[in-house]
Amino acid sequence: MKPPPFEYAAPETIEEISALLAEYGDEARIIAGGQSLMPLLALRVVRPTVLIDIGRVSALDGWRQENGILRVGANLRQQDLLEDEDLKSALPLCAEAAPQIGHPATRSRGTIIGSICHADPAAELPVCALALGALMTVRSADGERQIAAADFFDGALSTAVSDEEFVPEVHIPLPDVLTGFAFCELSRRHGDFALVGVGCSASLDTDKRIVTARVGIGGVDDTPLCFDLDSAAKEQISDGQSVGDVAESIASQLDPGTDLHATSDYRRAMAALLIDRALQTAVSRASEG
Amino acid sequence: MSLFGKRQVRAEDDALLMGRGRFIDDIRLPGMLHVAIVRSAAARAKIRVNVEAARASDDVVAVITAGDLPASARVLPDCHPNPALPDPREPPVLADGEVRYVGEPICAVVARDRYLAEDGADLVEVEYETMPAIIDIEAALTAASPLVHTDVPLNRAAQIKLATGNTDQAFGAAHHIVRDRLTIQRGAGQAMETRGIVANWDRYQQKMVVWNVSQVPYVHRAAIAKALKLDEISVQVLNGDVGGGFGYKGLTYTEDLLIPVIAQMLEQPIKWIEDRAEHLIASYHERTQIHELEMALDANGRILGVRGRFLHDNGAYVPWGPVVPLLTAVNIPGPYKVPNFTVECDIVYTNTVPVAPVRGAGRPQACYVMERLLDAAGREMNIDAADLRRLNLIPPDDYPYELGFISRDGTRRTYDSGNVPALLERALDLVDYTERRQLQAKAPADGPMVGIGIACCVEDTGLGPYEEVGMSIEADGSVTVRMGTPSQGQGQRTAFAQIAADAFDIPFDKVRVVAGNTEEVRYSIGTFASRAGVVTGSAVHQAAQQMKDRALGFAAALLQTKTDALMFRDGAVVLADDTSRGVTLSEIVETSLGESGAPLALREFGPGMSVTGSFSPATNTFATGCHVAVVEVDLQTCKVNIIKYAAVEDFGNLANPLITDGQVLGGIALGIGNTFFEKVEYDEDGQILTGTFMDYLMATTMDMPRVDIDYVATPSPLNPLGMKGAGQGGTIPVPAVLSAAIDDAVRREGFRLRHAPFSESDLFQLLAESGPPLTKGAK
Amino acid sequence: MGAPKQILHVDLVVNGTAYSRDVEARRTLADFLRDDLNLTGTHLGCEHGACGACTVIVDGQPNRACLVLAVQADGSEIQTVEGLAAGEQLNPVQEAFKKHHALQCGFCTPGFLMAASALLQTNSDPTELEVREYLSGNICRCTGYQFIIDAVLSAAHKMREPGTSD
Repeated sequence: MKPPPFEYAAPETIEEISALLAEYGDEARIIAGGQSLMPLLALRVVRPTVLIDIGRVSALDGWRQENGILRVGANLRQQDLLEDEDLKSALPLCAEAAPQIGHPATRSRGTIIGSICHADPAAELPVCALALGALMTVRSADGERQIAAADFFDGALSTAVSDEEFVPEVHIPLPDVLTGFAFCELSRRHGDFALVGVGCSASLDTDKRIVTARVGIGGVDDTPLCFDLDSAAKEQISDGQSVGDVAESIASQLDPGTDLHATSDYRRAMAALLIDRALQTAVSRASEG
Repeated sequence: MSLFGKRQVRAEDDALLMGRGRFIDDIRLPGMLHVAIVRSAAARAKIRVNVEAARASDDVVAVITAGDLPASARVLPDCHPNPALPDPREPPVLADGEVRYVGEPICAVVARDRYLAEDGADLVEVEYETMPAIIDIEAALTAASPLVHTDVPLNRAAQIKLATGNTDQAFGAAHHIVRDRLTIQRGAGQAMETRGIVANWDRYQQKMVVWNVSQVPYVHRAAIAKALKLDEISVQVLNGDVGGGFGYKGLTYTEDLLIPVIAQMLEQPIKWIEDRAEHLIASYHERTQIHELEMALDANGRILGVRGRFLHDNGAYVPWGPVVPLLTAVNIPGPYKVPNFTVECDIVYTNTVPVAPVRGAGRPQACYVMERLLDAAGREMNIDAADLRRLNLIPPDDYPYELGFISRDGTRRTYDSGNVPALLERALDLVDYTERRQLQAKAPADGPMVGIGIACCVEDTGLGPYEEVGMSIEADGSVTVRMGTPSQGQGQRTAFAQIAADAFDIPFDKVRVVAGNTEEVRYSIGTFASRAGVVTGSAVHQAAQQMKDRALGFAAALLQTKTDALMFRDGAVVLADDTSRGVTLSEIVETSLGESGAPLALREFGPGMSVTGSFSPATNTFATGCHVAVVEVDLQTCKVNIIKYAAVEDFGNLANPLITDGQVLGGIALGIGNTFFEKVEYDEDGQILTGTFMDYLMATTMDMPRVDIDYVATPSPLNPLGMKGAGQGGTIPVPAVLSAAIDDAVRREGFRLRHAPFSESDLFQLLAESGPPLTKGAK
Repeated sequence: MGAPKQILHVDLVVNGTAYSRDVEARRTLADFLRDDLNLTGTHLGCEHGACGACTVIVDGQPNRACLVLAVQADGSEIQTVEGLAAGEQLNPVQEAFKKHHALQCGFCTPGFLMAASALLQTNSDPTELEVREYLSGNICRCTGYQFIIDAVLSAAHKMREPGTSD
């Protein structure tokens, strides 16, 4: 289980990354934390000609808030979601999901954007990106574009990012006071990919009625899925009626696969359960401010 | 000062804790080359191998195919012949034109390092002409099935039949009969250290020196010698630290011959370290069996008989005869009185990884089926699980207890000693059984679903034929113990030092225990089947008695007294009635060796203080155990939380309870894996679906409950220290006890766990199919 | 294959000693430590980041050395199991592992020691659940974990209050 041979490039600027991608295209792979890529290299299922290590591009470090937007750089580590108090309060959904992303020794290198771009349908952060309405900044030598998270995932381990592009940054709208979040997950063992993972956000008006509510679900399809509650559902929950019906209704639209770890029926039932729990929690957190 | 029975911290630990272990992959020899093995991607196929591109690479030193092997090393010999499987199909060392499971070795690529060897392996082209794979053991036994080995009809490797009493009559007289189809799926040992071999033809010593991770180095020495056409004495097998064994390292693999053969061919040191991907698809598995059994009981719930048959998935070849299904068959009655018993087994070849013992070795299956039948009977007859076992356990006064059939070792199977009723009562106390049952009866129907499970088991341990131990007193008065059974983490250096230190009344750190080198003693069998502690431990005791006799005789001559006037005290032999007078062990050694050129002072004793002792048990000694678990089942998620777990074991007298605690806990962790997680899965084409640790799951810190351990000792009469083996007792009852506890928690009509392992998702599906909750009274 | 391979230069500090080596880009940090620096205490259990045996501490953080390229660690400061003891004197975590029989075969032990050390560097008074969660990415096949957990809790106690017994 030794990686195949490849060339290694350690650019120091975003422009250099773009230039390398323009040159190598699908023969290049980006490595940041490497926690998803390294196993694939060890198994030799990925054989890049050149590995572009973006870890030394300081422009991709850290995060900042700007005009109501949280801008997360490609080198920000998952562990920061647990350790950086300011980041935790700006990204409560990701902070709640973070303890379930792998283990301390992978979170310490694994990046937030790396996990989103790896696009494992059962991973936590892609679900969060959907629930938060994140915008992925995608860059190539020709320029920059933004892709909404809802349009970002186009298959298992596949995204709308082309071979010449990479994701230097993710933009996440900062929550207002009346927005609440919740992340719930079931996995075989602690730290495993989710059997089902659900992230919810709910925003209320000053009358504490739901303005928007969004549910991201992982583990139930080739990509993580996203549902915006329709007005009937929002009214129903705002009126204090059971969230369970709404959860059941979303779950009934799912067609999860059966694999080694769980059946389709189990995943659908757990989706209903976790949507119920996460929605209730998100709404109640929103109303508590 | 008695060290036997003390919770002595281990002599092994310091080096391991400081990163100074000597594991197989730590070995570096000048000029050492590395091997990567090309393995079959097909379960059943004719193959054509093209190695031209690989051989042409500058980075490849050699590519070895089946045709390159000497005739003596083309097929693995039957290293463990057993009359119950008279004509075993053994694997080719490298596949020759045909493959029979995914992962079977096809060729070996040799290069300067492992990276380059894997690059070279990528250049080997294998063309597969695939054929339908034989995976399902029931289908394999039908006339329509294709054959794994064309000359083995019905894919049946062998049949086993065991019987005692008159079972049909017992069933005719039964008040109640329960029957069930109970299945166990395969898992694997998955020691954290994979297998590995370093072989070096040492031309100065004219000897093939092989380091490996074997539990049976003497078996390997013989097999390697034969393959290389060398005398056994010209082959040395060494084991440094071995990173866990769990049974599957106790077998011989094709690589065990292949790597020394390559070292001989190339006359350079060769290293092969199995990587985890290889391990998952190519190291021996265990456990798949399908059992259809029934139990007859009288009106009170007393067992009248058990009968039925089971199928055993053997995999593609036979690494160790029929030992796993044989162990299941003889262990089904367990610690219960089963006066009438008939069981038959078909051993079936399939296109899967060969099957060999993995910690537990057929006994988890035996315990599972017996306890599941008892639980079914208890529920149907409305008898409490503990009461039903109290009624049927062999009473302590009935030991030694003869079962009425022949055991694995060919003797009449006889439990030498035991008191399982006492284990049961102690285990029930540890979980407050009576109170929990009362709480359970009062619990609201919509409250937490809490259940209790009980399982008892026996384990044949300490089997023969022998172990040999060399012992010497050194010039500094310390004692060296040399033995043939290698350690894979069991703490033999500590436990055996405790035994030897006691014998001479010397401190623990004055004993050095040496193993892992076939040149330390001439004969040995190996470390498996919970035998080293008992058999080698007893051999240490025997050698110490001989050594003591010799030293006492010598000291008596020196002190001009009688041996019975002497005793060992603090590193010396002293007069019992005046302990200030005596001779130190150092002085004894010095005198016994004399001076160069001068005659020995006491010629009649011969030189030095060195003896060889051995121990050959009359037959197995039987360890027993009782585990009780309390679980809570979340009916929404179907997650199971183990609230309380008690394990009470009878391992006879314990040399070191700290070490046996560790054995029990580690065993239970594997058992929890066998219950919830550890599943090797094949698809119908024979592709293995659990090829990484993302799919083959093992219990973690979050899955392992805190366990209350206790011991009840009935010393074995079969060895001088009264010991019994402790290696597998932790594992055996776990799937049975947890399944029982879950059934009890769920308490639904039609719901009964009949298969292990099972996931939360499996539990969900079973619950969805089952009926309404049973009333509280029925357990 | 056979093409000239790109060789890169790596400078790093391991257990206080500076090393400077040329490596191939694809070489993992684990192989670099074991083969290039001969620090064989770091063990490889799975090589795909799922067992924790190769855990080392890189710039104060636990890392799986099989999931890091040596070139990525250029400029880092690394602690491995070989750096825990002061000469022959076990450190409190090692001492507790010994006392509590937290190891059997010892193969996974370096990974557990380094993970436990990383935990105790950030949390000097962990609860049992925190210890379990933190170590849940490390697989041990021998011990059943109970004594490992006991050892880490005991080491934490000892490190908070040196001189006390637990």
